[in-house]
Amino acid sequence: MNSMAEKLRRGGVAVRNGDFRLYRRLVRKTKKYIPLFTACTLVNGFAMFLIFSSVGVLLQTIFSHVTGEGDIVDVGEVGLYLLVICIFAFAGAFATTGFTYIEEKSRILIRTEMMNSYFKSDERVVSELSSSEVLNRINIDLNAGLNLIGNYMSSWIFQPVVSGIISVGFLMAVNWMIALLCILCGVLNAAVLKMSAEKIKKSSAKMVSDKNSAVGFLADCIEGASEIRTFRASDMFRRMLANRLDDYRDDTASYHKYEGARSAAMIFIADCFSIVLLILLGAFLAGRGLIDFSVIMLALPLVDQIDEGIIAIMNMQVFVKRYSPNLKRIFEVMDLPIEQKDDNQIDFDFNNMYFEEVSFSYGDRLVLDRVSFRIQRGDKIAFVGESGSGKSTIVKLIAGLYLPDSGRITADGRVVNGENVTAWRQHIAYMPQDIFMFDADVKTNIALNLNEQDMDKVKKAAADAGVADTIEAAYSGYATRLSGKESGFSGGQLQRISLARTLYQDRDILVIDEPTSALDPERSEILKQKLESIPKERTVIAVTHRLNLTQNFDCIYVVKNGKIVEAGSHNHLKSTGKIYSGMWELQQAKDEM
Amino acid sequence: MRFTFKGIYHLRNGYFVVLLLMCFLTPLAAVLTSNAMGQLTEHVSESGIKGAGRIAAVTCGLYLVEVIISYIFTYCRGRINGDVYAAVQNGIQKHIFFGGLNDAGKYDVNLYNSVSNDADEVCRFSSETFPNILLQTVNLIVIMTYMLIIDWKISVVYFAAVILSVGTQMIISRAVNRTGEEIKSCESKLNEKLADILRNRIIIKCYESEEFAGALYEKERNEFYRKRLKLSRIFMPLKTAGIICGMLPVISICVAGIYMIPRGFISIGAFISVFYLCRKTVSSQLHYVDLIIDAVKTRPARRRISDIMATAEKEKAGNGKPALKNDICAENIWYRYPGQDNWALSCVSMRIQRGSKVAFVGESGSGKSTMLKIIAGELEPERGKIIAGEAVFTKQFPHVFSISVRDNISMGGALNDSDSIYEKLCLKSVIEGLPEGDEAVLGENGGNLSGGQRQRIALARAAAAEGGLYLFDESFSALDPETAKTVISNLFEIKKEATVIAVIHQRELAGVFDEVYEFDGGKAEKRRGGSEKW
Repeated sequence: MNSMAEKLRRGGVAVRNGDFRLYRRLVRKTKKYIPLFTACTLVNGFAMFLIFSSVGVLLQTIFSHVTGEGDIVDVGEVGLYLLVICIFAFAGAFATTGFTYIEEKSRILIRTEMMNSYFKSDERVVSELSSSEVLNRINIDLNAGLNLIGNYMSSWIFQPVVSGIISVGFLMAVNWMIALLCILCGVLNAAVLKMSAEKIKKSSAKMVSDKNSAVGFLADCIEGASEIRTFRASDMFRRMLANRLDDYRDDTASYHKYEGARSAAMIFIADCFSIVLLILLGAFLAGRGLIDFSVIMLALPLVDQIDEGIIAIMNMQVFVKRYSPNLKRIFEVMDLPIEQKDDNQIDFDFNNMYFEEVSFSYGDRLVLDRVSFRIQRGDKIAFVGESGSGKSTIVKLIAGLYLPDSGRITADGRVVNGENVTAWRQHIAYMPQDIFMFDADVKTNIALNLNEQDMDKVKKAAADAGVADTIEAAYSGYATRLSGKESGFSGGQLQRISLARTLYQDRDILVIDEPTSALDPERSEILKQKLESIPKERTVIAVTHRLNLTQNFDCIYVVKNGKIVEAGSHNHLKSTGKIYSGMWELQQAKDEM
Repeated sequence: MRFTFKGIYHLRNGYFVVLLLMCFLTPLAAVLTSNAMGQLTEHVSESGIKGAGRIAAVTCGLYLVEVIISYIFTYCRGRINGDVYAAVQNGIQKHIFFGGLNDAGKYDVNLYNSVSNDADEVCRFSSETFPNILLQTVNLIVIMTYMLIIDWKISVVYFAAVILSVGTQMIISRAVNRTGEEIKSCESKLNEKLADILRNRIIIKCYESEEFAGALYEKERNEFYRKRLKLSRIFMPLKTAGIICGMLPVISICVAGIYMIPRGFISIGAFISVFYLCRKTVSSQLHYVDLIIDAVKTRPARRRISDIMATAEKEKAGNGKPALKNDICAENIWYRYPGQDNWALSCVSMRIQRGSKVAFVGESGSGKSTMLKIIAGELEPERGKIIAGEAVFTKQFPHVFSISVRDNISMGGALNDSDSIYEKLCLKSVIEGLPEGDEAVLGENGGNLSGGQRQRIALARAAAAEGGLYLFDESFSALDPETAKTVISNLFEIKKEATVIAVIHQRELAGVFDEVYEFDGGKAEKRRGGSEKW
């Protein structure tokens, strides 16, 4: 995919790489959900605080009795308190439905934008990006990216922070020294985590790479198993594997060493150090008469919450970094250069069209070399030649899918360029060489509309394409479903349905690329007649390698190595005895065989 | 080596014994530390900060011991992980070398992938699941005993709460999984639609049908949206119930304490010790059932790995044939590939004297490679008799390993005079072109080496190997004729006494050989033998 980034850069898109910048962009895109997100997070954070602090409340109740400050507590009252907490917790849980709502709405937003970008963008750049790659990005990368603005991010980062802040506030209200102690212990824990993070990450990476090396070596052994047997070299390879595995064992051991040391340190700090200090502090403050000792019990669960809050702040960067490759891939699609659509553009009124010294290259390969010709309204034009001669490229340029690298295309005196090419395309009904069918029924595929389908027009188009009888004979007629891969229609039939789709559109110019590649000679003949009988108002431009299809067209251009080498009517070209007539003889001979 | 629930100690691993010891020490340490913490709290709540310093120090000291024990536990787990993984990979390798070939004479790569997954599961089981199960079981027993000693009522409350929590969580996870399945099928339908639309991009572009495209997947999109919201409505409250269940044991102890302490059933010190202990261990105990389920789920994988490790024990030497001592005799060999009607070889007889250098030539499909494979013992003739011997067989597309050039060659046999072999097989220029010479480690299947260079390495491999019979199946096909002639003549010189049979398709090379057999349509004829010239 490095080359993808290259191509995007060449197309004028620089994908900027800063992790947080991508994250901010994502947030800005979905900014109308920020209030809802904040509200849900606050509610959930508060619920978390209540749930965890309940333990502290209960302990405080116990101790206040023991130290003589309280009366015997009614278990019923306690039960009520807990019930209230449960109810609040459930209510808070419904707030998380809000997160799912945010995620799904954002998903629809971003996905639609990605798809539109893909459909509308400059053909040059986007043809390098396969549809399956885009689907992957809409699926996997988008799912990963949504983690950053949805439930995942909230529950791992924002809620602990909220809960921690509330805890700090609460403890501040009790006594500032308690709050300070809790914060210090949390910071200490976070420091241990941060200091060890780099080392553990490196160790883990080394472990994974050792494992991959061993696995790769075994795969190598499989490939060469017969050689190993023939040469009885199994001992040698056993030794080599053992060496690699020894590396793995050492690395696993040291990884677990670091991991064990870190978790030991963190447990010691969280379970022992902070609690002991809290208890001592509580005793100290109680001795000074500042608080009741039992109050320190409230702090026990809250020190955990503060701890998690501080770690969550640290983790934010880790999370954003983890998902930024996914975000990068999403924005690559969204940033594809789009063809501009100028709302004020004047429509073309097609009477003639000129190609003037048009050259075009795919990458480094020159495909068209200074091609020039003229097309008048109502002409029937053919481009013929060997495969790879550039004829398909010429019609793609006519259809407005690409723009020339040099030279120009003019229609009615106006140059067709990046700003008006979308208007120009509205005059063209293009039938590509490959067959593209949607997973829908025949009439939808012809009309390209789910709701407004003019059945008369559909049937006429099908008849003109010579496929009406086939469709009517099918199981459900025009309502027969075509599913991309298998449709029950043969290749030739699908090709004619594709032609029907082209004919359905009331457009001035029909551009047809290799319409007979899947047809037998009899059907080709029928198609030839249909094409010839298209009324004069419509211009027909056809690319074919079967010369008899376009034999009666007004003008035939022979394309060779990106240049137009011959031009004229069929009889004229046959008489000159050059390339066209040679091709014609060859095809006649073949057909006769 | 059996990886059943009970059998892991067959590893004879010292670390496992230490791990076992830690499993017993951990709960004891936990009890001691909670006790100490309880004492501290009780002392401080009654008598203030005086004299608390000593208890605090003792508590910290005990905690230190506890975390050291947990560190040792983790370290042992790491060691076991490494050892089990190494043992399993070694077993798999033995299996590759000596067991399970499929019909094509190759180890099944798909089989290897699934075996690889099984190996990972076994490893995880041995180093995480199983030790944790041990630990938690001992934990459970120790804690139960401790609590019973203190007061049976509180232990009843605690364990009832634990069972309730575990049960609720199991119900929750079952509900979540079910809805998760629905979502998955919804998602895949949506993706199919999207794939269809994206594939037809050109049409959408040319006919400005973005709206149409949107309409095409509207139904699936809405359904996915609705399902997701539905899942979240079900899931989130369940999740909170899960959190509350996680807190339930501790909260219930507290409630029990509120009831029992004022009525004098239990002292505050004992209560607080129990509290600390439960707070420490409750989350791992709630996962106890998950661990057991996990262990049961890995049973098929463990069984498969056990089978692989078991079959690897027997060793097979070479291709089971004795060394070639005499001439090669083939009498009336008929061979047909399985499932085919025509004979690949029909009534082929030949006698190849020991020490002679023979070429098999013929069109592709004429049977020359088949005959070679029969001589090598890879194929059994349907009719006829063949007397040959153990052969060093070099194929047309040899596999070059991702190890050093030198190792690639010396796997055939010790390289005593490497320079001379490199020179004779025209490898000198190749090796000098590599930055580390013959110690250069090659990439996948030879990396950037050309076909000819790879073949030369394979030939050097054969040259390094000792043997009486050398077979080459189109092993010079990527060499230009000059190089090929040089290499072949040098090989003959190195292996003066050995029998060499080579299938070649470049006829100009036939001149270098003593005898030439021409194959045509399954029959063989000796074109030249002894001192006759071609």
